[in-house]
Amino acid sequence: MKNKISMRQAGIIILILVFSNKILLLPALMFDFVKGDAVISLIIMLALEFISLPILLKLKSKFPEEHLFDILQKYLSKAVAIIIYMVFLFYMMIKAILTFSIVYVYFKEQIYQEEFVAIALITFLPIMNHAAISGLKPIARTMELFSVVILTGFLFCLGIAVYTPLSIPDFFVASAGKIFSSVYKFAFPFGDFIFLFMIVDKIDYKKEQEKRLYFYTILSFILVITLFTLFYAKYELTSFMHNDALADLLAYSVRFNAIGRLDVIAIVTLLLSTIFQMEIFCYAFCDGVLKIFPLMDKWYAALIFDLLFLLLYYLVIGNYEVIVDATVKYFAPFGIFANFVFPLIVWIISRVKGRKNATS
Amino acid sequence: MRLLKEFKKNPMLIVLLVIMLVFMPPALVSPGQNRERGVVIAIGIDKDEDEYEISFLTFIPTPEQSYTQKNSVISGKGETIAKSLYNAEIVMGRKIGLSHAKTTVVNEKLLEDDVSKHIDYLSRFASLSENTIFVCTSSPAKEILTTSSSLQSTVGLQLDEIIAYNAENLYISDTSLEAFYKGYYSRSSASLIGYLSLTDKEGDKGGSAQSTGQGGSTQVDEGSDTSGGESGGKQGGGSGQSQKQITNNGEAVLLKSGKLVEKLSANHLNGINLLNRKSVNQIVTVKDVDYNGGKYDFSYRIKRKRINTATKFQNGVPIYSSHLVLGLELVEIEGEHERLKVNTEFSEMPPQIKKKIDEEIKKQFTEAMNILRKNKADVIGIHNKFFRDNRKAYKKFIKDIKSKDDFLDYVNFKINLELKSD
Repeated sequence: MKNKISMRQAGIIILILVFSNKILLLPALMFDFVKGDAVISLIIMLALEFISLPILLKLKSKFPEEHLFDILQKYLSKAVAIIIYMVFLFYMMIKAILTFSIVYVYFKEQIYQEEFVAIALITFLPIMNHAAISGLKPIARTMELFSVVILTGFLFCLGIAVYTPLSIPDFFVASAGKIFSSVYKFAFPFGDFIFLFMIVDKIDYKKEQEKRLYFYTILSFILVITLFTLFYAKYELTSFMHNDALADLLAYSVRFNAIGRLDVIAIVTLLLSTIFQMEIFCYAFCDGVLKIFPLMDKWYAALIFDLLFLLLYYLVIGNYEVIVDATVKYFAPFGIFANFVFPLIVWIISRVKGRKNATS
Repeated sequence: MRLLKEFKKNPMLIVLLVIMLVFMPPALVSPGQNRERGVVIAIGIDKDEDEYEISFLTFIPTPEQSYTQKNSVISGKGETIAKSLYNAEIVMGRKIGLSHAKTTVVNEKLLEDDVSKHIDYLSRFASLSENTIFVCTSSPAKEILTTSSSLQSTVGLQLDEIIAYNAENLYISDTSLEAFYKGYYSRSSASLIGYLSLTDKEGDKGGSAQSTGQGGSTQVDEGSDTSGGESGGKQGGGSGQSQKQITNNGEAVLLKSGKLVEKLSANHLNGINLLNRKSVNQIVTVKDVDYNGGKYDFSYRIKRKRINTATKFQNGVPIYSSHLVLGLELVEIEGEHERLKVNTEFSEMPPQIKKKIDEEIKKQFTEAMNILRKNKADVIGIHNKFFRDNRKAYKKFIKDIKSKDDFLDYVNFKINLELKSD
């Protein structure tokens, strides 16, 4: 029980992770590519992502106490396990940089126009490190506490959008080929279940509580699909011009001008969810480093995360457009791996284990 | 030592200390935001031969005990919008923040070319919010801002409030930058934005409003010498001498691919909005109607509207048929009777009145459609309706005609009005 998280906490983690990189810039990017059919692409991606959940639960039932790394090592050899974990580390690092870059640009435009990136990093990195060092349980408990605020803020943004002029978006305007190529192109921001696979040993699994995990997953999917649909219904043809979907559901409505800056609600929601997402990415990275280098102290793992983050951000990426462009052009295979290939590997392992048990 | 131990126990305290050290000293020594930033509440853009002039109605927050707001108009000139903005910042001595700009006024001259090119820098780079009210003027935009500044100080009415009324009651859509872009990127690249003009106080106030009988409103300004003063690209602006007034006749301009193609009167707008269920409250006047042995002029207000629309392709012709149920309220009778009892003798709508109203409304609609057809500007959403209801046939039809812009010319409108006394 110690250092384990409940099924509800795991559900809340997935709820907040599903929001990452999908509620600000992605709706505009996807609309630019496939117009209103972005909603169809999104549903396809989420449906495919959903398959990971029963696979995860099956894995947990077959290997109740084993760490994912150990399972991979046992069935696929240590070298393969290390390679897979290296991919995960890279994936988590890029996800962290992508999330940070998008949210940083948003906050810079909205409130901190004079600030420079170092100031944001000073405030973000220590919190992420502290969370990673403290462990999964404190992160999950804090998330559980703030999930009410995040959910309320999210629902408020959606609710306000309902009261603004909306029109039904045009669906099926793009060809099937284009819709499926958008599934591939924008695969990187998906694949959030990878994190649950990485912490599979730390989930306090109870068969009767599986529905909680399903509930939060379905809830998060419904919220994201609703966000996309409302966003396209509100902005129609100009959706590609609005890079901050959640906040833009509140803004640009003449009707609500009297209230003033209503987007503060979106700002708070985004800030809280981003902090937790970054904490999770940092934790996952550190956990992975500690598995590959078992003798390393977790402080050093956090330090490696910081150094790599800063090096990549300053030296390679430099600005927001580069990382966004790279995730669409070059990192899509990582999303495909995380979303489809890896769950398939895990499913095969679970089947093999099941057969072994049956024969023994 | 105890403190050190405490820090060792809770390393986050060190982080807190570092953050305080980084943030606090600069915050203490830096000047207030109002010294560094000027808040812009309206923007005006003018263009002469080779130069832009960008004007800002600014609000400089100053601590005072009263609620009065100090506004001034500041402008800058340059070869590009970016350069003009930079020059205006120099004049103002502050950085300009556009996120509070509620109104953007552009001079008609900018609409001779694709206006999106001119405003691109402001909306994409300078954080001009897309919900800014976007209007066009025949007068210099700078003068509109100067006049509006004193309008606010004398009668407490802001420019955006005047236009917001138009948007709600005449355009039936926001006349915002967002609405402009929505039209600009639509299938027919057509948008509709509000139109204001500036006239001398002694000038003609009624304009087309009187002739159309739509009761256009005119906002009167008592002068323009409030806070500006100097003009000509420096602080202040406006004439400072002559008394001007902002004239709002509820007019709008039709833009095709960002270019001005037609000025529309309030009557045209009513015709355009006939098929818009949100558009109510218009007054329909029919004259010289024989009733009970006398001749009267009747004015009805469209109180409610129900619309059933269907589209189809019949023998290769696109048919747009609409059945409108209009609830009309009799609001005025002009005739020989002086004491007419509206609720008794005139509560019923006889066929001759229905016929005249039917003719009047259809005439308005036909005129409006002729303008839209002439300019190939579908601001009603006819393309969208056909696309949604008959996608295959619509796509085929578009392929077969010379240009999709010609589509409106082929559409056959069948409007059936059912008038009810309300």
